[in-house]
Amino acid sequence: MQLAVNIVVLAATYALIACGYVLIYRVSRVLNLAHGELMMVGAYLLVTVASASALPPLLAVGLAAALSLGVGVLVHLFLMRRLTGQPALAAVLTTIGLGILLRGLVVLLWSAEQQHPAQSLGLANPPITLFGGGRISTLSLALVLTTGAVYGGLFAFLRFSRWGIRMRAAGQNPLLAAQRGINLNGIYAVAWGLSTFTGSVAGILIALDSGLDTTMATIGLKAFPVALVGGLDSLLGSLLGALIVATAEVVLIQYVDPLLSDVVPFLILMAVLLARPWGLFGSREELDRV
Amino acid sequence: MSEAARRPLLRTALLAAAGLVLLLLPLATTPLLLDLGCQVLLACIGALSLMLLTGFAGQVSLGHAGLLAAGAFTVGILVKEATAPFWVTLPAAAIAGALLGLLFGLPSLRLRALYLAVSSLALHFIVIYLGGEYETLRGLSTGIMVDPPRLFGHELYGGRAWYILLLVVAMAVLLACRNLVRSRTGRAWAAIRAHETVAAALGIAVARHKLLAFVISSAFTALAGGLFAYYRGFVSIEAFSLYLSIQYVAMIIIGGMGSLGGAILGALFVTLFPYGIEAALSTLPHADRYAGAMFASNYAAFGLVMIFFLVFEPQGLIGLWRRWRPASAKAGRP
Amino acid sequence: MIAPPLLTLEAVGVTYQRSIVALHGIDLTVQAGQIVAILGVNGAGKTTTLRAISGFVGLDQARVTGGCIRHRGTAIETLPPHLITRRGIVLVPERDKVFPNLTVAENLAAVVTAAAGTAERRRREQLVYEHFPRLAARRSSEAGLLSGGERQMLAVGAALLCGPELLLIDELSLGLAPIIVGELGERLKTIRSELGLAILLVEQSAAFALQMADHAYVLENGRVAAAGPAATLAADTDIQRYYLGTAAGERRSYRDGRTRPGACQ
Repeated sequence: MQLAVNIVVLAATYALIACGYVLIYRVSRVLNLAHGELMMVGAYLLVTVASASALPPLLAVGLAAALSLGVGVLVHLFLMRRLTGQPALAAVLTTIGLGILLRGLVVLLWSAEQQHPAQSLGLANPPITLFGGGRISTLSLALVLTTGAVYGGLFAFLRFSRWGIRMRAAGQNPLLAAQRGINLNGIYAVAWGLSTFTGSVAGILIALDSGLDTTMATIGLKAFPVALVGGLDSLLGSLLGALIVATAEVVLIQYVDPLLSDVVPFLILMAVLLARPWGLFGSREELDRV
Repeated sequence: MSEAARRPLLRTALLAAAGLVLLLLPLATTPLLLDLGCQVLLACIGALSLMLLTGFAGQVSLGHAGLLAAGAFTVGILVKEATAPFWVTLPAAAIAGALLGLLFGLPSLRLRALYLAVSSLALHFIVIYLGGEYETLRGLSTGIMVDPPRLFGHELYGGRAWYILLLVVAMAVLLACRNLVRSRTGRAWAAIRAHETVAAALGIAVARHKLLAFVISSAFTALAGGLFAYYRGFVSIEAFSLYLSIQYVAMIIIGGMGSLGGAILGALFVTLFPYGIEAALSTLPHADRYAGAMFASNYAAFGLVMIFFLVFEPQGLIGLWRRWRPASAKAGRP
Repeated sequence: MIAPPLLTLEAVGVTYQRSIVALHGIDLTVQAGQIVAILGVNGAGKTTTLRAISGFVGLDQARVTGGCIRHRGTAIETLPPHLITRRGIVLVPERDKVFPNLTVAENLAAVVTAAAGTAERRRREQLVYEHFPRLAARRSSEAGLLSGGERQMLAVGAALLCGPELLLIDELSLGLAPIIVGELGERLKTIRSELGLAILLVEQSAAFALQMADHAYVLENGRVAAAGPAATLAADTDIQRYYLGTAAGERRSYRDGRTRPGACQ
């Protein structure tokens, strides 16, 4: 039972991070390898908000998440916008450079010491006993619920809202989208903002649950295979990918070797890449575009 | 004398002079500078082999550190388990690299650019995991000690000897790369890089040439890793982080894609970069206050430089050089 | 003072990849409410002309290297595509004209009508479904599953939603059954007279184009080879022989004139 709870929590974490990769890739065909760092920045923003203001915890979290949305938009406006029209690879390498820059900046601005935003917010994290006898910390439960809400929200947004439909349109055929009066740069900025927002929410919840230092970016990188396993342009895929990877990771750590933790997502990734490179739910023609 | 006849002569003279300076350098420098020279030379070998793969054959890799690690661990394990001499371990490292290159290369037959980069990333983590497993199994949690190699009864030790050895190897790799690029194989790579489908239609064996690029590049890389293990006298997975892979990618970007000279410039730049940052920071007032921030500043500045080159100077240093050198020299360029 | 014409091209040149010249100075005028056809063989520069007007050349490693494109007297050759669309110049491209994974309704919802209010937008949607009842019937099926004719209707419909005063249509008849082409042509004529919009038509099928248009231009190697009222051109035996004879029978190849017009010559 506890194993199942662990799997669900880890899957929810991966899924919440992975949807950021999917959002940006789906809309602008850019693989954002700075996603882990951006989500870390979101978590550090909470540290600043918590120490600079006496806001109640929920408001502080909301403010930090909103700020991170702004960070994502700025990344597009000041950096990625300049790379439109260049090969997709140049954009990916740029995000790698951005990731390195952010890691350095985070240490310079917030120091490399471990931070505990939950303490400074005065947030308790009591474990809750579930029906089958499994235990889950309050914040982990919050994470699972948030993931559900974020995915529900994203599905609704992409399916029913005009902006969401335009985002899908821009992802399918940017030329035609521009020609239908859609401002591509606006759409891309929204995608970067949303992606950084969802990633930061994940980062903030992880930081509240288990503290925060620069290793958080690595968690972000581990969620990347999850997005790819499911298919980089499919939200449903990243949910399923998260479940697969989390199950494999939790089970293997439990029964085989704890050292496997870092490598499991990538082993699964290799298997998927060799068998079905476009992912479980991705569309096949995507391969030729990159 | 005509312009055309003077240029190769001038070029040969310049190259000879540069070679002489490089060879005589160890006589006149401090151990610290020699160590720096050795680091640059090792980076050159690694960067040249990555340039071969990415800049010429058009195959992207984010797993370069994994290959270096593979070479280093091959040497480390062979020395540890069998006390094998270097003329066994280094070829073994190259062979291990070639085999791993074949493995790294297999996904490239199905995957393009981004996905290929991702699969190489995955292989990096797998190699590092295996190395970590070995360290744990043998109880060498801090790493493997590697004794200096013996050459003609002499222990190869000290900066000067290593500098000469690495210079010779780097030159050999440079020459090998240059000849490969100009050969039929090099032309096949260029065609594949430009357009794979068209290359296949022209009768080029795309799969074989891609794999060949991976095998050759990986063998050189693993050799560099093996040399690194001997030079440092120590192998540990800590030395082969993802950041190292990124540094190598940065070398070929900053140097300039598709140019062997660019690879060397990039290796020079990236290796010396942290020292430059350190020097710059130490000139600031209250330098001691920033001592703790050195690593982070270095990181941030490196990211910034990488972004700068990608966004504003995609042709790299070699592109800058080509644009700025006198117009007369430009006219003769092929 | 006479108001400037709806659209004028003055000596427009377009160069691809800095070296391949696709257009060598095209002069062309479209008056309000007019249907104008551009004819010519593969690679004559027809599609490039449309792309230059709609602001797409910039995304194709090509540039307008000379001349001036004016919409009601304002130069537009440097505007990005979405702003040209918002000025009321809307392109219906030759291929990839709908978003295949979006439903018909979503395809229409994706269109940005910044200037129009909600009521106006709803009126336009109504109009599209009125003119193309088959779209109304397939409202919630994915555009990728539509027939070629329905796809063309959806593309025209989405363009109409932008509130155009000038429609640029690239190959209306390509790949469609003659009966569908006839139906679409009649629809367009009705729409033109109802909404008072102008249409610039690029066509391989000269017979269809000359029957639709008021005025026509014949392009050859990136230059205007002949121009005049459609009826005059249709009666000109030389042009008949040269363009109608070959163009009507020749099948256009899949890629030509799309990736690198001008390079084919």
